[in-house]
Amino acid sequence: MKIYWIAEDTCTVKLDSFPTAHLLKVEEGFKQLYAENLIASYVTIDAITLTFSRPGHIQDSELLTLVTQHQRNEKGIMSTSGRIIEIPVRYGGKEGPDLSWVASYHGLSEEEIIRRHTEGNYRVTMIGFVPAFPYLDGLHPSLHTPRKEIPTLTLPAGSVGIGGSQTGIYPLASPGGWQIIGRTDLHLFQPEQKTPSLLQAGDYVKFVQVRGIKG
Amino acid sequence: MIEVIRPGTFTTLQDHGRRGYHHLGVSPGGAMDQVSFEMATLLVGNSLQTAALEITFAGAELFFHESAVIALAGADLGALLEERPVSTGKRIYVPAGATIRFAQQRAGCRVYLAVEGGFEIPRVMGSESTLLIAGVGGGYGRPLQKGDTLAFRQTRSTPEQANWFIDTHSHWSSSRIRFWKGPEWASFSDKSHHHIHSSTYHLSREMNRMGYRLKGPHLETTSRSEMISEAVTVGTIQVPPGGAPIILMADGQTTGGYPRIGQVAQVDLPILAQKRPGDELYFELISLDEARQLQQIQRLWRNEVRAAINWKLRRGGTS
Repeated sequence: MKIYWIAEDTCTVKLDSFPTAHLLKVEEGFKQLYAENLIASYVTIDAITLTFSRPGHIQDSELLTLVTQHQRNEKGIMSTSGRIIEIPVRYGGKEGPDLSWVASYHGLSEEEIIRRHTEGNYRVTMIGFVPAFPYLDGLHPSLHTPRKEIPTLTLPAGSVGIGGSQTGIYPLASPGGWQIIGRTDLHLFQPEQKTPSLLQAGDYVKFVQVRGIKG
Repeated sequence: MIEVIRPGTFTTLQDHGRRGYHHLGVSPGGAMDQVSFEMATLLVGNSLQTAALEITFAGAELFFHESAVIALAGADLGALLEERPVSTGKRIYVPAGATIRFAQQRAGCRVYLAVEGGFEIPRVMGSESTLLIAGVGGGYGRPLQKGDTLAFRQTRSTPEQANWFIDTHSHWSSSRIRFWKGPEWASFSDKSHHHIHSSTYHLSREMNRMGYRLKGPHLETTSRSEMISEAVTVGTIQVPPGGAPIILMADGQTTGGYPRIGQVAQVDLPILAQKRPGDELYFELISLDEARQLQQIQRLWRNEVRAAINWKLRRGGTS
């Protein structure tokens, strides 16, 4: 475990090999311990980042103690709790232009790629990089696929792709190097909503195949 | 209402920033030079949640359909009101039908134009700032273009002539960037530690609200291990495999996977905000405690400026 300050008022507590469920539990503990001194907190893949209103009062030892206490109690935590969000995806065709390449790369049929992709239970390990972008854990190793050598300049919002050992959804139109296998109409980034991201760290994602043409 | 006659290189609306959405991948955004923004804002009596125009480089031209009291703070981009020079750090009465243009790159990079009462634009996620990556906020969700109009929340018909001004330059007129050791400091080579201490770096042309790529001696880690992405903030100095450091700025990504050699002290972010491509920078290593002390000192100074402006405004604003 390591602690480092990434801004005058913000520190990251890095907890290697803690599953997301445990990170969320430790984050809860920090919220209780520091109450109003803690103005923001969030979990990333293997760390918790905390922003304080009075950072000068924070002792590294205090942070460590809380984590150690948690490690002692961790047996009671169900790592399967979390919302399950279904993502309807139209696979292949114009909206999933790289599906056939991914299928031939693995020597499988397109249907088999879709079957394996929709079979997975994916955990959101963090939202980051750009607004509402989910990092998903749980892509079946048989679907791991190299990224494109030359990124696509503009991918439409909702593009579902595979990049290396990760799968994910592009919430906004952006450049990207992943192999695009489908598209969803769900809006992952909803700036007008109270919670502007459809997904949160700790959620589970289930891809569901839908057919038909957009609109 | 103002109308954009020429947008210049890059003009957006920015306020204090969009706080509290880091966990959803949304960076704080807001004015790159928070101190200059604050000064322009205070001069016209606005709150920090009210956006001002952030005008980057010379070239912009704005037509005032209605009269207004405005203030400029930050870079000197050769502002001309009806072809007569106007200074930064001052309340300025602009009559209806007048034009302001930014004619010449003199010092700095970004000037803030605040209008008394602010512009009539909706708040998105608690802020009026343009969130470029998502195409929302700041009225148009993009940099301003020719023909765009922005209505005022209030209009002013009585002219005034202020005879006082404040200095909005000294907080950024330096080339020294103080930083403390980043989480991956120890993974960098001794040579890299030496370079960042003692070499001069220049701003490349790849500089925008997301980040600045620097030119200078390359930095390298001693081992090439894959990093798991984690939180980064404004001022994080990260080093991609090519070795040219990148400093993340207001619209930077919220998580990153490149090794971080350092973190820029918040008090020196306005200096970066006012640098232009080709400008020189040098780094000075300090401790986190020193960075916090500098922040405290700057906070006291900002409070004094605020108190002085408010005192002047209470006496009627003009003298």
